[in-house]
Amino acid sequence: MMNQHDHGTTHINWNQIFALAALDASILISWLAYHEFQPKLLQKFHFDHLHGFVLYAQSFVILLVPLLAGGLADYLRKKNFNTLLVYAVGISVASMIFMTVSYTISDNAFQGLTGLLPIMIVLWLISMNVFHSPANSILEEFSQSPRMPLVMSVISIASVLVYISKPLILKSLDMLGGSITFLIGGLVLVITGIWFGKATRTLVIGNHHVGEQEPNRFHIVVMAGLITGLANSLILHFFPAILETKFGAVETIFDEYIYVSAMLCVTAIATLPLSSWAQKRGIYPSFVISVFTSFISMLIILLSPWFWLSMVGSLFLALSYGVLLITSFPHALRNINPASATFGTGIFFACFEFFEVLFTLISPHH
Amino acid sequence: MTEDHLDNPFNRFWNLLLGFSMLLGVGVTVLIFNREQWLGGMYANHHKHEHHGEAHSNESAHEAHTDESGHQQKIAEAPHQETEAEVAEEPKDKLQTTEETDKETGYSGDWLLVTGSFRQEKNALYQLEKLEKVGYKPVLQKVELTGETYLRVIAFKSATYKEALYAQEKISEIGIPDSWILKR
Repeated sequence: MMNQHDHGTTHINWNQIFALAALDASILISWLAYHEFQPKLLQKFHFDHLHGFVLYAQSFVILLVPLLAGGLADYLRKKNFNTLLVYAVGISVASMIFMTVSYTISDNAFQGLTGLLPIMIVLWLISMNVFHSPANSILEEFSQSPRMPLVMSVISIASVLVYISKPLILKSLDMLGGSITFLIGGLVLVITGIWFGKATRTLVIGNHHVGEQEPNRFHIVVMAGLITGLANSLILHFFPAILETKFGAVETIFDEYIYVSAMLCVTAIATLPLSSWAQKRGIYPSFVISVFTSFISMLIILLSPWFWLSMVGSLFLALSYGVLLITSFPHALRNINPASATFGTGIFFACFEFFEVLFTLISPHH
Repeated sequence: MTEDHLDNPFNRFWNLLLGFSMLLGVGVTVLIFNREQWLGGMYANHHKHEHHGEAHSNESAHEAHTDESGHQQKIAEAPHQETEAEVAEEPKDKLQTTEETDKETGYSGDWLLVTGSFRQEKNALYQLEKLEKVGYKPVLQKVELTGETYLRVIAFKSATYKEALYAQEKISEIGIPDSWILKR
């Protein structure tokens, strides 16, 4: 296997990128399983009264743990420890808890084990958030590469495919039941984690930046995370219902997600060609154009009384969402000192989740 | 300098456009949160013309549905900002009092076999129909959990835990693996 360092920033190790895309996709599927089964498990095992506690713990963990994990990973790197240790521990613990929950909610569990369910949920939340930032911080290695948008398009397509299949995944999980779902979740995390671990064994983040002392511009990272997170939350959280209202309900296996899934199909197809557009145009201008177009398209869809205009708005929203996904994180990475790559990645992901957390807390009905 | 935006002669332009886009984003968010009040007419018209008698996904849909079924009072009960297929309206003829359900279903007792708990009415009704097809007489129970409303599907009631356990085994055989037993 070729050493990453010999090739500076222009060589892309696609095995690492595909491994990261698979890991991100498995994380998303795990979150779908969590959101689907967590309320049901709390009800089933008579922890209804802890629903509020879990909600607040979840918000706290999502916003804080990526920062702490990122800071810890950077600290370990400075002390010449293996940074990837943080994500390895996170994946192992998350998988272990997945499997323990699977056993706990099965019919064969010990009577007293179910009492530990709320603690397991919180531990699972922490471990899931521990490895996300360190794993994604490997992209820092390619942040100066002109092919960065292409790298991001591969990762984005994997995530978008999960969003497209969300209704199908949820239906399948419901059919399988909680116990088997958590067992499969744990196995998928282990498999993708091992793949990612093997692929990134020789990678040392920040190595090619020796001698460079770029300043950290965390305010830009915060802004990029917040804007992208807002657009992402609005599209995935609110637009299924908005588009269904606009275009009319149809009975399909996708339920109310039919139009959003169709829109995301356009995003998935267009992402690769759009990556070369973003590469020519430049990361920052493409990012700004995508943010502007995303919000303008949302406004058009919301206000337009005409079917055709809403269709055009949806098309533009699909395309701009694709560009947003492939440019926002690289834009953030370019404003982070390589020595703080993982902490900066943690800031980006914490800010990215901010609006989702806020919407969940202030308006459970939305 | 490696940042393309710092090298870019239109740097100021892009920054201004980003600032404007952020304000636009805030505006869109506020509009989305208040769309039922501000854009309600437009949304309600769509539903009245396009959907009939289905489990709908927003409040306007509930209005259209309620108009047809004649339960006027339920419009007022539905939270005004409801936007997803949450349970804003009681499914007619399915959500009943304990006495009514005991009389109608023939089941009675303190042990309840719950086969699912759903945020979306149509999912609860889907399971309800599935159970009815195999001969059960399930009923729905509304449960509030920190602001969210769930619909529990109760497939069976019994006087003893043992009976409920037996029913649970039987129900897992028809592809509902996650049922649980509750004491009323």
